Amino acid sequence: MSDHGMQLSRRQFLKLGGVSALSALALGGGLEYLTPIAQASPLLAEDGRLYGTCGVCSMGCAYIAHLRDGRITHVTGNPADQTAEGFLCVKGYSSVRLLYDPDRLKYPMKRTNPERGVGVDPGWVKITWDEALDLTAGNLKAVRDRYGPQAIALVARTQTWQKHFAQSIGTPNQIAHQNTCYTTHDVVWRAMVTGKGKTWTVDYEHSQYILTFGWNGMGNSKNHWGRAVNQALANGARLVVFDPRLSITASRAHEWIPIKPGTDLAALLAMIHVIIDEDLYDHDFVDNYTTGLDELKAHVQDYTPDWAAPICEVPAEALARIAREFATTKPAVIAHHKRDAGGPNYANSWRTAQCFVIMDALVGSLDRPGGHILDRQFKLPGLRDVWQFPDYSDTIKGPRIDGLDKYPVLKPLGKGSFSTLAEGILSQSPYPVKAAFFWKHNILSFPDPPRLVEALKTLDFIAVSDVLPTEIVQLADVVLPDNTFFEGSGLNQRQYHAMYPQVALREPLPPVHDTKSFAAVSFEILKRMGLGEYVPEGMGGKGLMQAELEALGTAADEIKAQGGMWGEATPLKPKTEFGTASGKIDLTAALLEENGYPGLPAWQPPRTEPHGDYAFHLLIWRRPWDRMTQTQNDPIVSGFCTENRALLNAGKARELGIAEGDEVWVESIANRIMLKARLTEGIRPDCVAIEHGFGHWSTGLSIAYGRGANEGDLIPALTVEQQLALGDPGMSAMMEDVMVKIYKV
Amino acid sequence: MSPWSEQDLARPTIYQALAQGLAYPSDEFMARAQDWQARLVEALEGVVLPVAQVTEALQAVNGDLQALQVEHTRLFINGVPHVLAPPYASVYIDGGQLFGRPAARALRAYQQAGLTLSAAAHALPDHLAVELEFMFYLGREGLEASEQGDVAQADLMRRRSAEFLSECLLPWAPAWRQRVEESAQLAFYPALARVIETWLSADSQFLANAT
Repeated sequence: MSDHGMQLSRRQFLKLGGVSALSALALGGGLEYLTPIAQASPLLAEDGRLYGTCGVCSMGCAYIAHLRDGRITHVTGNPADQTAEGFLCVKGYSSVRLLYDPDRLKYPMKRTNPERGVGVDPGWVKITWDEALDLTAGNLKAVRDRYGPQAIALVARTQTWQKHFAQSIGTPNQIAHQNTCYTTHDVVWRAMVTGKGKTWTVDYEHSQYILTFGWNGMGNSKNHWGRAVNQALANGARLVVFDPRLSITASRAHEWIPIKPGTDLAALLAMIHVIIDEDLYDHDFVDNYTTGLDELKAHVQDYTPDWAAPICEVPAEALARIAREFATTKPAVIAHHKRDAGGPNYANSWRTAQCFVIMDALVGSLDRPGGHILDRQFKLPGLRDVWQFPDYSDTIKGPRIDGLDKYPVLKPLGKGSFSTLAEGILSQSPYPVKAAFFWKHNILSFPDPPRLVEALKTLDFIAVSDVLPTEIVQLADVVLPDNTFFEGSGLNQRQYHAMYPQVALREPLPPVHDTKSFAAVSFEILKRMGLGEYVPEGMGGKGLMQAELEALGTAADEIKAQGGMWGEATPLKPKTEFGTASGKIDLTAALLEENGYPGLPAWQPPRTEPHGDYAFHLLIWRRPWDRMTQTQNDPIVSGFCTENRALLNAGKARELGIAEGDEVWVESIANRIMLKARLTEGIRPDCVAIEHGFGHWSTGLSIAYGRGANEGDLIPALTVEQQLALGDPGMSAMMEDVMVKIYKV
Repeated sequence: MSPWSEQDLARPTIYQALAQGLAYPSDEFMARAQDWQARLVEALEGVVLPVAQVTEALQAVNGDLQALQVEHTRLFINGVPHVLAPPYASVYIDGGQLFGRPAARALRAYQQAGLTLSAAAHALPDHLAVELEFMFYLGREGLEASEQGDVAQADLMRRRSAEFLSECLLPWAPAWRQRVEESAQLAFYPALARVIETWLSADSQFLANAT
């Protein structure tokens, strides 16, 4: 004691607390953080395993999380899952770092600085959940009472509880990302094949000829597809890739064809022409399971390879040869998923997506081995099967701020638009929006985020439920920290590889921080807004899962005993009826015609062509390890590439006097961004390719902040009128239908 | 083993006061700030520590609870530019992620003492306030054992305190203190961080001599 001069006398010490030293301590309070084990609620998971499904991307591979001392040490793929087959991708294996990211939102917070904007410190203070929920409900209720329910926008993926929240509030405005992602595919599949949306299952493994236009499934590191396509290649399949850029998938292909951007439609029309003209189509399949062949025949009569060649800058012989190979090698399939040439990248993408379906139908690859498979899923109960609550208000059917109600083929699919939100809010047309609730959607994924920030600054109130402090969190008034997928529970239907019905069990890790699920938060807000009638007793994820288990005739423990998966592998029984009104695959899409769109895909050029200095087509791509903010703040995987670059053709760059590493401006009619140049031979001279996932200005992301630039700044936002003028049933945001100029800094 | 001493009496108070100082600032804390300071100052009386800086810094806050909450949030939870001085051992000694091996080590120590984390507190095992509270707990248990004449138990608590301090607190306290000093806008948390670091070092010497 004398070593460091402690002079406290027992008398002095006792003076602090009264009669004895121990009572002095008692007065100072007991334990705040620690508690005897016997009294503990289960905050920490026990050692062992938890079954779950990866939430980094929507493939949802089933994992097994390995626990030690209350923490997940690592995850492995669940071998019982038909999707994962015992493997995860680099993003899935890395996802534990999202769970334990020190930047995570840990407690509810509110802003103390009323000024809202880029680079403005909100002055966060931690608050209790009660205060956060009261504050959110109070503000939303005030807006709803004064302006009506439509003045509240829920910006969130269209999942069960998110839809229920928006509809219970009574707003038609659930804004979601799908028109930057896959709506062009979705409307076409609805109209031509399924009667609902796109199917996500493809039996690549058994295909012998895989032809694709801009699909980069191997480069995006989709776990199952990467392995399945590799297996097909090992089995002797041929892979042919049309893409203006030498993608990872193109680099694995037998043939890479650097087609001119936005002209895939012409190439496909010519191939359809060849297959029909040379009578190479599968008569058995086409005769029995499709309608509209005669119209299609007449329609493509003039779309010859010679016609297409100068448009898409691919030799006519190559188009004809590949068409013949595709039709005569069985089984063959058009590989596509979301943001390929048929995704919402170009004004003509929906027509390209139509051609994808026609091509598959002509060779009999719809719901047949080696082709696109219509998902096999269990029918599980919906909310109204489990609980009774009032009908939603008719206000949910009213006009939307993003104009999506004007898209009759898209609207019933319950999807959303990112391209029109900013202009809708700013124009206050058809009415003002005054409050927004964001859930796990970041503004950097919108076209022209700076414009959206301007729009959001006009709102009275913004609440955000998210995992990391992304850009939208910096603009929020209240922050409601959400669980990661590790901390949620439920049953997950196999979707991206649903060859037979199978669900995966997701067991929750107790939340690492003071976080709550969207469902729990939304119920509390509804109750506090006076809308408790929409939250009947027992409503919640647990109740829904119980009902689902009963419908399946099983129990969670039984699924655990079976290795975390439920559903028996059954051989594929090809469908002979499809979900359209005709019960067949409508090559001429009757549903599109009924709604005022052409039923067959005529040639239509993309929205933009080279003009003046705007001589470069914008291409957007993603690194295999990148999936939004779920990976961008990961110190290890984000370290593989710390800034994005402007990928330019080396010869073209030399002409412009641009050397490797030079800083260049890339400028569109919307904005300009600065990047360093990277030169390659693997891209057309008239293109610039930029990696997505950079340009974060939220300093809250301590790893991702300040790296590179966001290519989304180059994509113009649209008014509803501009969007409608394009006549596209899929409401494409036209993410790559953008011309840019490039010049040195 | 050294006889039970006056520092043994003061240690739990000190640890508890430091943990309380690091907790999220509440109305109650502000209302009882005088009492908190007095306890800290008196318990640390004579120890060569910059404790006066803490009291001065707290006076400078001038009862502005929100200012202290903003500072606490930006330094230790989430903020702009980003969480600057996360008070978790794992961040400093296990690669920057939360709930790393140091958290597991701390948790095992709590469990060995019959404790676990309270669900209501929503804290990780290697949060500095939790670790300080555990030191308070061990000290108090030792004091209680000593008052009841259970010398063996009292000595065990001292040994466990020494182990926990050297394994779970000392390795990262200086790095954390440095981040707080670099990032703070108010004087309070740097002052508290300096007291914490200096006290841990002093207590480590005391325990080394006493055990």
